[in-house]
Amino acid sequence: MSAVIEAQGLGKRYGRKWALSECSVSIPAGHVVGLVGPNGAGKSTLLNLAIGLLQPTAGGLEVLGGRPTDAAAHLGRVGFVAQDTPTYQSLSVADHLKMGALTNPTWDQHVAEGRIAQLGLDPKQKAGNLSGGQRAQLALTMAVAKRPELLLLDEPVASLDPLARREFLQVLMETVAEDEVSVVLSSHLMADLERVCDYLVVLVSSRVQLAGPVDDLLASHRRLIGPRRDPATMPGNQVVIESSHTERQSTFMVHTDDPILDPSWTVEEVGLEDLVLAYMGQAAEKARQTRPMIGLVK
Amino acid sequence: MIWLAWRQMRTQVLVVFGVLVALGIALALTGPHLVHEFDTIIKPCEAKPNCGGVANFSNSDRFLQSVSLLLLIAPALAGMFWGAPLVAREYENGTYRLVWTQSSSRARWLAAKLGMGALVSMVAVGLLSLMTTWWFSPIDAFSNNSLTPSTFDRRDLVPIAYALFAFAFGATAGLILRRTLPAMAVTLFGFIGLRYVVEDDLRPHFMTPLKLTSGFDPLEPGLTVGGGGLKSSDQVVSQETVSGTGHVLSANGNVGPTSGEVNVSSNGTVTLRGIGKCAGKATNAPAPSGSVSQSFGGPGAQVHVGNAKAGVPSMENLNKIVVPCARHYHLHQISYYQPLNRYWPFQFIESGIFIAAALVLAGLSLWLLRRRTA
Amino acid sequence: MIEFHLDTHSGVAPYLQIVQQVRRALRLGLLHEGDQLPTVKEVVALVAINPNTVLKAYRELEHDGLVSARPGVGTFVTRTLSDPSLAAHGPLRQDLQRWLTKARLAGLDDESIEALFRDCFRAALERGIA
Repeated sequence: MSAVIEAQGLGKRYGRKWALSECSVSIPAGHVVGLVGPNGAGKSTLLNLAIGLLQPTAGGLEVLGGRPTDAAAHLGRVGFVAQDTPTYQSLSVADHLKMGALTNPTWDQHVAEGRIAQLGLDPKQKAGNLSGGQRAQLALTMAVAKRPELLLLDEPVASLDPLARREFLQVLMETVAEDEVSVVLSSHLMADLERVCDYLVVLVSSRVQLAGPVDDLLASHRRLIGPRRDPATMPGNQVVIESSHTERQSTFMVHTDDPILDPSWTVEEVGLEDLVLAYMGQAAEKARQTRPMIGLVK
Repeated sequence: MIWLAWRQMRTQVLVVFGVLVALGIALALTGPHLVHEFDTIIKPCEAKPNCGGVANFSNSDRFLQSVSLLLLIAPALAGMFWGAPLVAREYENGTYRLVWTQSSSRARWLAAKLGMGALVSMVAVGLLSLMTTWWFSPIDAFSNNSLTPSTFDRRDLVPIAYALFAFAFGATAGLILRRTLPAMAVTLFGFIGLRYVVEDDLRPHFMTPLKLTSGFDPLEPGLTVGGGGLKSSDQVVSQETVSGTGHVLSANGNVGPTSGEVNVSSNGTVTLRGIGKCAGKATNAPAPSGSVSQSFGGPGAQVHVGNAKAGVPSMENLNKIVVPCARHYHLHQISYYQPLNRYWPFQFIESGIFIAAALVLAGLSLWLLRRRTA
Repeated sequence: MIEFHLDTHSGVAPYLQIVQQVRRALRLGLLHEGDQLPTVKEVVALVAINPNTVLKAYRELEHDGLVSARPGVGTFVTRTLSDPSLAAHGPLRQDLQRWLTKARLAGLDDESIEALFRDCFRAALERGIA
C-alpha cells in the first residue's frame, strides 16, 4: 500500500524554536490515523505542512506522492479541516457550499447538500450563528464534498461538547465507510482516538516517538508485574518503556515481539491510552535529562 | 473567487453606495439654491477685482465644506477600511486556512480580492468626485483656482487615483503585517506621506514651469497678483529678484532688511547684498508718533514695531534710497509658474503616478504571497 | 434489526464485543436465519468506531459459519445458535427471576450474585449434575 504521507527528517522552525524536528514517518493509505501528543508537540505543524499552509525548514515531505502545493490538481485530492474550524461569520451555509463549488473542480454539490440536510442545518443561516458542533460539521462537509483521497483534520473536536464530538465522529466514520478515503486526525483526547483509529502516530516534543497499526502496537506491548528488579537486567528482546517499583514489586511496560516465558511475571495486555501515556512519559523524561544545566560559564 | 470577493464586500458596498445616493440627492436638491446664491453673491463681484464674495461664499457654506472634506478623506478611508482588512482580517480570523485549502491558487484568490476592492474603491470615490466637481463647477469657473492644491486634489481624476493607491497600499500593508489595526495606521501615514511628496515636490515640476520676467517694485516686492503679468489663476512655483547683470539678490522674491538683502551700516550707507552700494545715505529720523514702523540697521539690529527707535533709519527714509538704487541696478523679478491651461495634463500626470504606484504595490503583494507559500 | 453498543471500559476488544453481541442475539432468537446484519455504514453511523472493526467482526462471524457476506447486497445470517427450547422454558425463567429478586433483597450486589451462581454451577459440574 502506498503512503499517503511520507516525511523524511521533516522539520519546521520558528525563529529559534523547532516546532517539529527530525520527523520521519510513513503513513500508509486506507487507515484512520490518529496523530496524538500533548499540546505544542507539533501535531498542528505537521498537518499544516502536509496541506501546504506552511513550508518546511528542513527535510522532505510528500503527500499523495507529491510535494504539497496550491495547485488545483493536488488540493482537490486532500481535504483539510483546520483547528477551531474557521468559517466566514457573515456568510451563510449555502454561501460556503457555493464557494466550495466554485473553487473546487471535483466538488459534488449533491453530496454537500445531502449532508447539510441530513445534519439538519439551515442553508440560509449565517455561519457566525451556528454552534461549535455545527460549524465543525460544516467544515467537514466542505472538506468531504470535493471527494478527496485524504482527509487531514487538525483537532476538529477539541472544543466541542461530548455530544457534538460523538456526532462529528459518527459522520466521519460514515464517510470512511462509504468512500475510500484515508484520514489523519490529530487529537489529545485518547478516548476518541481509541474508537476510530486503526493506526497511531505519537508525537512528543516535536519528535515521532511511536508509529504503527494499533493492532500491532497492542500486540507487541505487555505489562509485566513481578518481584522487584532493576530494569537494566531485563532481557534484550524486552525493551522497557515504563517502570515503577514498590519495595517488593516492579511493574514494567515492555515492547517485545517474542512471547514472555518467565513464569515469575504476571502478564497483562496494555490499553492504548496507557501505551501512549507511557511513551509520552518516556519522551518527557528524556527531554528533562538532556536539558542543559544552568551554570556559570567563565 | 470573484464571487467570493464580491460576497465578502457586499454589505459594505451597499452601505457606501447608499450613502452616495443620499448625498447625490442632497446635492441635487440644493443645486437650485446654489444657483440662486451664485446670482446674488458672486455675479455682482465680477466687476470688482478683489471681491471677497467668493471666498466668503465658499467658506460659509458648511455643506460645501463637508462635501469637499469628504472627498479629501475618501481615498484614505478606502485604503484603511477596504484595503487594510482585505488580507489581514483573513489572517486574524483564521479563514485563510479555509479558503487556501480549496482547490484554487492563492494568486488567483488575491488577484480577485484586489481587483474587486480596487474596482469598488474607484467607482465609489469616482462618483463622489463626479458629484463634487459638478457641484463646484460654477465656483471653479469663476475663481479660476483649479490648480490651487486644495482644489486640484478634489476634482475630476486624481481622487480616483488616490483611492486606487490607498487601497493597494492598505492591502499590501495588511498582507505584510497580518493585523488590521497596525495596517490601517501604516496605510494612513503612507498615503499622507506620498500625497505630501507629490503635491509639494513633484507637482510644481510636472512640466517645466513657464518663466515670466516682470519689473521689481521695491514698495511691493513680493506681490504678484495683478502685477507684472501673472494672473490669479497661475500657480507660482518660485520667484527670484535678479539684478541687471544676472546676480540673484533674493531666491524667493522677498527683499528686505530682516532677510538680509538690504544692509544699512551704522553711518547710514545702504548696500544691496552681493550687488553694490546705493547712492545717498539713509538718515535717521523718528517716525511720526502713532504710526507703526519697522526700524532697522545692520546685522544684529532689532526690529521694533511701534515708535521708531531714535538713531535708526525709518522705512520711508530707507525707501527713498532703495527705490532709485533698484532702478540703477536694473532689478527685476523672474517668476516661474504653471498656467491654468495645464490643469488637465497635470491631472493625468498625477493620476498616472498614483496608478503606477498602485500597480507596483499590487505586483509586490502577489509576489510576496507566492514567496510565502510556494 | 440489531443495534450494537460499545463498552469502552470492558477491556474486551471492540470487534470482539460486536461478535459477542451478534452471538447473543442469535442465541436469544432475536436474529433468525436469513436476517440481514446492519451494514458497516449503518453500524459506524451509530457507534462511532472504525469501519475496519466492524469488518473484522463480520469476518470472524463468517469464519465461524454464522453469517455469510454477499458482495453488493449485505451480510446475512446463515445459522442460528438459538435453542428453540430456550424460548419454551418459561417456568425456568420465572424461577430464575424469583431467585434473583430474593438475592437482591438479601442484599447481594451484582458481583456477589455472579460469584454465587458460578460457584454453584462449578460445584454442580463437578458433581456431574449439570
